[in-house]
Parts: sequence; structure tokens; C-alpha cells
Amino acid sequence: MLDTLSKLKILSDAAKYDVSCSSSGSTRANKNGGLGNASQAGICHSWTDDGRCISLLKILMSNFCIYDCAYCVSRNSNDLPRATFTPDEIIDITINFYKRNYIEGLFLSSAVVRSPNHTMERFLEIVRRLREEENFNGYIHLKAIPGADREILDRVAVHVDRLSINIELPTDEGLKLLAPQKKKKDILLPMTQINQGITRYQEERKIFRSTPKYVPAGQTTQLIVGATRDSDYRILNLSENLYQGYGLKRVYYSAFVPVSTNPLLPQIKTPPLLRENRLYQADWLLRFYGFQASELLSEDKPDFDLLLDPKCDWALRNMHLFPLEINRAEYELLLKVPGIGVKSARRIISSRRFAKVGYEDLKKMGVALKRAKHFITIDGKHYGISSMDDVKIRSAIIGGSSLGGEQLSIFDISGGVDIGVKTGLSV
Amino acid sequence: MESRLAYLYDGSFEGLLTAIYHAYYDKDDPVAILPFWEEGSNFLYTYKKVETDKVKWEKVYHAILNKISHYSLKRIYNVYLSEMEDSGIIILRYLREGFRIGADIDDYQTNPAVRDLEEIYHKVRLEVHRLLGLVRYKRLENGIFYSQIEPDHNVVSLLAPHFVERIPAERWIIHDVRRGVAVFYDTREWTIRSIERPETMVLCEDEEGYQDMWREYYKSANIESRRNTRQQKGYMPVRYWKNLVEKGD
Repeated sequence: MLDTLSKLKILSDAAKYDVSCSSSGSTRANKNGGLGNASQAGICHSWTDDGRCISLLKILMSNFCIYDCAYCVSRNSNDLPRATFTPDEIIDITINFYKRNYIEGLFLSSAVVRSPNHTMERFLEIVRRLREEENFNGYIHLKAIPGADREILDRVAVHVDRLSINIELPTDEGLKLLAPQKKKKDILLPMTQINQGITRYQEERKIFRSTPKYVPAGQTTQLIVGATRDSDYRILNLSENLYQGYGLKRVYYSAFVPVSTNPLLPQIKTPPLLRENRLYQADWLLRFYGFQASELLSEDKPDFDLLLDPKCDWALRNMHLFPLEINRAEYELLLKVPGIGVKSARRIISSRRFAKVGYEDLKKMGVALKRAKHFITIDGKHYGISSMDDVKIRSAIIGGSSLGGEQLSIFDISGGVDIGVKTGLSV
Repeated sequence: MESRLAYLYDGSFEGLLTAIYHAYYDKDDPVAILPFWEEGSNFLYTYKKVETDKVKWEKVYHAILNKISHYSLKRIYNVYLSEMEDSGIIILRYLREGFRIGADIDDYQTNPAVRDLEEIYHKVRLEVHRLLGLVRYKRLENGIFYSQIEPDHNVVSLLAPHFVERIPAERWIIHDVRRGVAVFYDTREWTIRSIERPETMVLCEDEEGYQDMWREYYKSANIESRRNTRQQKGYMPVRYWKNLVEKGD
């Protein structure tokens, strides 16, 4: 029998490839002097050497799996130490980590033990006891297991803040090749059911204030990047459909980390982090900047330019829209300027009600002028290179930057991201 | 060269507001507003002491609430807690603009007085936000959850409400060992008192076990092939590490 510390080592190691760690989007108040609450903006508690944030205790309940998916470290043909937590152990670690302010809450996932329903029943026991017996109001993110009955999904949903189901492989072909025991419809069905549950809750809540919460922080999913040959265009199209058709809160992208030598998988030395970064930037453009996937990429141009952020890349293909006058352009157009983010666009709008905005002002507002200056005029004056030629601007922007030298931060996209969000987010 | 006027106040927020009062009513134009222990720090200054006076500071306090906004008051209180050398004079300059312009003052982001205040306010809020995550409690033998921090700014009072909301049923202490002050919470209310560094602290029996588990978790959550310590240090500056269970000694 393994002790709790050894189990923790095994079951957190296996859970770390799930990149989502966000604790945001839910406001769960502390009730009856219980323990904890959920903060809307999310809080990060530490950062590991890979620069990723720790917000939640991210563990598997068990890594004994009935499936054998090629990309997954817990696949049953893999020879590695196996362990299973008891509900008591998970509850005890969660409560004690939380009281010491190590974590915002629990992110519980699992290999599929015996059957999807059996795994979900165990989940239900843990989250129900945390909420009802321990009076725990911290954040709970649970992985829903595809193939479980809807009835148990609904019973779990009232206790958790967020549910997610990982699609992992963005196309049918990929799924057939690497995870032949999984079916697309098994994954999409519970996503539909969760979306319906959330909609139903929102309707009922208008009539009955006391309607129990149903996944208040919404559902998310994860796509693996680089385990199959799928293009950025296909991945981004899928994300767009998930946001629009399934009401997802976030799609996470995970650069494929080689955890197996299966011949079906690509042989790579390092995870495609820069590509992952470009997808996050593009994802931001879909959600906050009013872009559509089909504007950013196409069948003819299916992948992002690794040397340029996607907005820059887009702008250089749409030079007829520029330069924009910073003191007149509408908000929606300001958002399309490379180097201007949501926060700085808002600042420009609010400042120019009182006075003209100048070059130094833009700098202070957090605009990345290195890129923006080519696409704007400031009170009629253009500060970029003298011609509006896309090839010349491209080389002016790329300049000395080389692939290896680029700092990987998804927030590079625009500068001026609100710091509360910046530190609260975790990818 | 003409010597330059610096106000000295007693270091309290009320004292600072009293100094603001004098800057207005004495028609002075101070170049610095400093706590009294800074007296003599600049050869070129002429110092003028300001006595904290309830009638005066209340007048300024209510003028801010009525003529500017509650949000402005919150911002200057945070900037006061920054304990940065020029925070006093920056608050005065900001309030001068605030009384001229009114409730919209914070939209004037190109105004230098607003920008200077915003810059310090931002620093304080960033540290508060970081520490909400980085405070680490150790459970002592007597059941109290004790934590130790060394912040750049005087933020213990800004941290307390968050933990009252979050851990209402436990007794806890957040101790700023750099300033020798601490928040004490006894499951009903919180107070700030100055304390010395405690000589011995006896941990509760299972404390080490949970710390070991946390260190183990921290280690195994890392993906070595994605190593990026530059990003790690950007989010979690090294100066905070020594009070972290997972990073300190």
C-alpha cells in the first residue's frame, strides 16, 4: 500500500499535461462560516520552473486506465507506477493545502477506472463531500468522463465551478489513428449536455433565485498541438465552432510533449511552444478582438507565420485599412492595430474625450509602438517607416528578432493587458 | 539658491491629510510631503512640521468623497501605503487636479499628475494581488495559522479582508517582518499591531507532512522540457521566494 506522499507524486505527475489551471470566472461566496470562496479574477499561488502558474491542486484520482490512447502517458500499455487516491485522501489534502493558502481549489481528473460511470460516481462522492460535509466553497474544476450517463453528469454539475472535456485531437482522422477506443460523438455529447444544463440553469434562475448553481464558471476543453498533422486553420476553426456552438469559456492548447515512443506519433525533441503561443494569440483575437478564423487563415494559408504575431500577420495582408488616425478611429478599428490591446484601446478612447493623444501618451498607455507606429498616424503624423509597403514593414518589425530570442508570453500580442488578468490567468 | 519647503507629518494617513489641508489653506507650495523620520534627508529642504488635527483631516477626507470620488480616496490610501518617498507630493498634486476637475479625474490619463499617481497605485495593487497568492500559512501547535511576508509596500491591511472572507473560522496571523507589524485575526475581527519576530514557533504535528507534500507537488507539476525560468521570475519575483515553502529554506 502506497502512502499519500507517493501517490501524490505519481498522480500529480500524470495530471500536469493538462494545461488549464485557471481559477477564474466564478464567484462563490463563503457560506455559513465555511472554508473558502472563489475569486472572479482567479489567483495564482506559485509558478513552476517552466513558467506556468499553479492555481489549483491538479491531480488524477487514479491512473489505472481501461483505454490505450497513444498520446497519453496513462495509457494502459505504458509501463509506469500506478496509484489511486481514496476520497478521504483527496479531501484531506485539498482542505489542508487550501488553509495554508497553497491553492485556490481542486482540479480533479482521472484515468477511466473500470467504466466512465464508475469513475464519475467516485468524483461525485468527492465533490459532494467537499461541499456538503467539509463546507468547502473554494474552486472545483472537474474533468467529465465521456460516455458517462447524463443523470450523473447533472448531479456532479451542481457541486463544481467548471467542467471540462478534453477533445485532445482536433480531427476525426487523428482520433482514429491515436485514440481508436474514443469516439467523436462520445466527446461531443456531454459537451452539448453541459451547455444545455448551463442554459437551463440561466433560464430557471430568472424565475427561482434559489436554483442550484450549475457549472458557474462554464466548460472548457483542450486541444493537443503537434501530435497530428492538423493545420492551425483546422484547429482555429474548431475553436471558433466550440465558442459559438457549445458556449465554451476557453479552449486550451497544449504543445505536444513526447511521452511515448509510439511509431504513430511524430518524433520531436522539444514541444512546439511557439506554435502553441501563436494559437493562443489567435484565440484571443477570436474572443476579444472581433476577428473570425477565416480572416486570419485559409486553405491557401493554413498556418501562422511563426515570426509574426497573428494580428501583425493579418494587418500586413490588409494594408488598405491602414494607416488609422489614432485620434479619430473607432474602438473596433483600434483593436485591429498591431500593438494595441483591449486595455490600451479603451484608454485611447477615454483619454481623447479630453485632449488629443500624442506619441508619448501612447507609450504610457502601454501601446507597443514598435509595431503600432507603422499602422497609425498620430494627429496626422506617421512615425513608421516611410512607405506603407507590407514587405518593408514586415522586415522592419521582424528586424533583429530571431525565433530563439522571442520571449514566450501570450500577452505579447498587444501589450497593455490588464495586470489583474495577467497575473490571474494561467496557461 | 532658494531653499525648498518640505512638510513633515507623523506618518499616519490622517497626518498626511492634515498636511494636504495646510498646503491649501497656508497657500504653501511644498516640494515634498514626508513622514517625520525623513527630516534632514535633503540638504536643500526647509522643513515645516504639521500637527495631525482631526478637524483638518476630516475636512479633507470629506472633500475628497464629496467633490471627487470614493474611488479616488481608495487610490490615494493605497498610494500612501506604498511608502515611496515621493508618494506624499504625488498625492497632493493629484488632489489639486482632482478638486479642479471633479469625479472624472481618473479618466484624464494623459494628465501627468494622474499618471504619476496611477503608476504607484498600480505597483501597490500588483503587490497585493501577488501576495494574495504567495502568503503561506504554517499551522502552529496552538492551532493558529501563521505567515511571514516581506513586502515592498505596507500592505498587510490590504490583505486582511481577503483572508477574513476566505478563512473565517480559523485564527491566523500575517506578519510583515520587515516593518514589524502584523494582522491578527481571532475568528471575529482583525487588528493590526506591531510585533517583534517571535523567538520560537512550535509547529503542529502534521505541519511538516503537508509542507513535504506541497514541495513534492510543486516539483512534479513542472514540465522540464518547457523550462522557462525567465517567465517564472517575471510573475514571481525572486525577492518573494524566501518566504515560500516550495522555494525557501
